Amino acid sequence: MVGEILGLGQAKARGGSAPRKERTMKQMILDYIRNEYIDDDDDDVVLDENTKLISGGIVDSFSMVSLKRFIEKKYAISIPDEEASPEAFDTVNSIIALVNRHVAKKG
Amino acid sequence: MAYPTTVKDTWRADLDKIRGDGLYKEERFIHSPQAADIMVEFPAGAAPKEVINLCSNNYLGLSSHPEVVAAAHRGLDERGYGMSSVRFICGTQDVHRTLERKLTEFLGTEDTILFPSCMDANAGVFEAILGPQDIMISDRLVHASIIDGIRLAKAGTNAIHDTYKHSDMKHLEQKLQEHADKRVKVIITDGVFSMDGDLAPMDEIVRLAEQYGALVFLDDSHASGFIGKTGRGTHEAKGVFGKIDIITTTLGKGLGGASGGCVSGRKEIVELCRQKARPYLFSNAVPPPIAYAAITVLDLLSSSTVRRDKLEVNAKFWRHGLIEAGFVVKEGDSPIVPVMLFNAKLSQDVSRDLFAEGIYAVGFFFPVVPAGQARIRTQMSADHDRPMLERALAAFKKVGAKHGILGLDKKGIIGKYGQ
Ligand SMILES: Cc1ncc(COP(=O)(O)O)c(C=O)c1O
Repeated sequence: MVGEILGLGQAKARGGSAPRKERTMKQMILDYIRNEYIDDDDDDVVLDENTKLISGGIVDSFSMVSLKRFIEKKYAISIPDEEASPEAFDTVNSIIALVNRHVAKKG
Repeated sequence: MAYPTTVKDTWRADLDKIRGDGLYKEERFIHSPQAADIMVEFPAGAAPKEVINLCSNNYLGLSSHPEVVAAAHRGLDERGYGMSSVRFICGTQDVHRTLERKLTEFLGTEDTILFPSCMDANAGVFEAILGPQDIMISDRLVHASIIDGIRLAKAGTNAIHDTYKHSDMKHLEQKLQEHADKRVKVIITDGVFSMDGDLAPMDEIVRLAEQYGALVFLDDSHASGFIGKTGRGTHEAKGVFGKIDIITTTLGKGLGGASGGCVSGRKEIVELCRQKARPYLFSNAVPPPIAYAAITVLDLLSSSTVRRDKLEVNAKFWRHGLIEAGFVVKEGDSPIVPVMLFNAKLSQDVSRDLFAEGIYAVGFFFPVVPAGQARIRTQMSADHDRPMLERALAAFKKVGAKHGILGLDKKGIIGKYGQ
């Protein structure tokens, strides 16, 4: 896990095109959201990294907690409540930015 | 006395935003007792108009029932108007305890504690019993008062919280497995969901609770008195009467319609609430007339099922009539029958046109219900008679035809009006 995280940081630092590990993170979070928040019979929902999750009504802010817990566990970070705002969790892209910030902070 | 203009302007802007978003709520003044048909002044200043009421929680028609009113009068005469105290100082009369005992028997539990409202019961119970080793696992569509109770418990006790997809037992089981290491696991659900009218699968919830060593919490506010063969609630309807650890319910809907609520359940839970639940400790006792009237309501309902039977017949007739007319109606088996319109503005327009036809039914839209799920929620009462319901159906058909939605399915309505 740590290697994966470091790899991510290095890829970013090199400024290369869409790093592989980031795609993995994106895919993992998207998969989690699909399983956790979207009903099996709801085929209307289009979900990608820019989809508005909370303001779009896909994830309610009260149920966001399981997504936060999933990310914290997966990337071995701890996101303080004041940073886990509905804005920070509104798209997969903003979640990735938040995770990367915390991973980088951890060193 | 400092009320700075800057603060005032901020709040004015908040209000303007609510108005601008179309979310501003206006009260309509009713010039008659609560009933199946009422006199409503709307808009403010207009002459009161007689309308059929399809949006009250007066499920059993007891809000203005002569025996209930007479009992409240008796309470007023024999025990006075109010207690001027919280329960534990000098606010408990014999009748409060009698009512608690009767609720215990009616709901099939071990003991009961009254609260000023069910909102208070839900706000107080979790914090009173849980600790940092515990988890609350709630259905995603539980009532706002439960959400507040969970928030208070998280803040006050560090208990943790998770949610499961609405009535999705596979997802609930996954959550029970994920949190297997917790000391107390409470599964939290409404019995009848107030915006959709569907029943929680209490039988499956109880089975999972037994399998994973969890407690079951049931808010039966929209079920107590009429759901189940003898009206005991969702647990009766689903064959698990006597197996629920915590039931909260209100005296403000089917059970008389005034106010008051309770936590009913395991002895120790009720006892802990008496020691620790903040809305119980710090808010006034239920007034004597309400205690008297609620006792009478429970006696009436325990001796006869006529009212809940009539309600069931009304709900079937109404649901069937709407479907036959070509409306999209949420599936369910309760007196709550939501007519789906999906588009928020359409729900407001239909509500307004229904009012012009003498029908009082309100449109609900985001954020009260999920975005794109706007609806008119209709609620049956045992006090509606067949001619009233026929008139109401005729009005719905007329308004539905005006908007061209009869016979359209979800895709058709969204295609026409957008989501
Ligand atoms: C499911 C549910 N629980 C609790 C309440 C609150 O009940 P009370 O009016 O007694 O506070 C309501 C009423 O709106 C409700 O619908």
